[in-house]
Amino acid sequence: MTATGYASGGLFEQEAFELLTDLENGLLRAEEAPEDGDTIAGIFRALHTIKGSAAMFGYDNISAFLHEVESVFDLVRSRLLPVSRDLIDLTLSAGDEVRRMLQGAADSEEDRSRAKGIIASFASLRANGGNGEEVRRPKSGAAQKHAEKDHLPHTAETPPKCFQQRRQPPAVVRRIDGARSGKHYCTA
Amino acid sequence: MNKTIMTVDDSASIRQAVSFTLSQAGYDVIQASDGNDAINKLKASSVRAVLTDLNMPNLDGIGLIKWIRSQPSHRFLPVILLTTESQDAKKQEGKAAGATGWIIKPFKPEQLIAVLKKVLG
Repeated sequence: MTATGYASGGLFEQEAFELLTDLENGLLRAEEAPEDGDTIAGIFRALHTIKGSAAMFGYDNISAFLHEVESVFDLVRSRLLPVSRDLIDLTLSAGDEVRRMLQGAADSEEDRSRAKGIIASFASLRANGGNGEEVRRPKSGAAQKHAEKDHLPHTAETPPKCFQQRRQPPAVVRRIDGARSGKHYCTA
Repeated sequence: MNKTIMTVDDSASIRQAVSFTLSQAGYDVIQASDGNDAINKLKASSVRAVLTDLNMPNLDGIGLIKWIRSQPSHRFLPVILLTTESQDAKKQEGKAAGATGWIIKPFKPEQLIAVLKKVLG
């Protein structure tokens, strides 16, 4: 029995996985349109809902973990912190961590250490005012430069970096644009 | 006849938990997934109190409270905010908009019933 006395019968877990997908889709949109207030509000809402519901159903680890993440996005939606490359990458990592916690696969010392590291990075981001590469609306050539940072030759046949790094298919859905535009993404 | 309470939250698991608690305590429950859904259902049904989350898509808790207080028939309808501790500013905003009170998440079933009984008299 959870500390609150509530049990969701699996509904919270199902909902949380869906919200994590919403979160990742929101982060993808924020990468393309960092000044879109609705997108940022959606990201905050996903984090906030997972955090609040987690506490109700006994996932104190998720609730505690997301506290700093939510605080940072509260600043972003108040336009006190910009959307940066670091923030997007860090939040994607946070989503992966929450996924592991939901699956009950985040109990080792290594897992706890990794989670602490992510939280520390968010705190640092907040303290430094988000000084990092700010994501701006892509202009001509900007997307190409971003893609080149992956250090992979971009052809339609080359598996993008995210497939190679993730153990499970990425939940982030991106377009495959082909060699023509130089933009190459992963599909879920 | 049972008193009917509305629970408004974009989280289905929270709605389920709150509904279960209210039903066990003898209340009838209407669920709404956001402020707009709540307004549509309030227009169709009579309720004795509203329990609402703050952060919801389409129309949030503050927007819902403002609508409720704008209706002559709902000016004194008890509206309880379900909120997290870190949202102090939002709590004050809710109070200014006309919220009757709030419950901090996470809460236990007995806390929810105690607050409800207090506002229902």
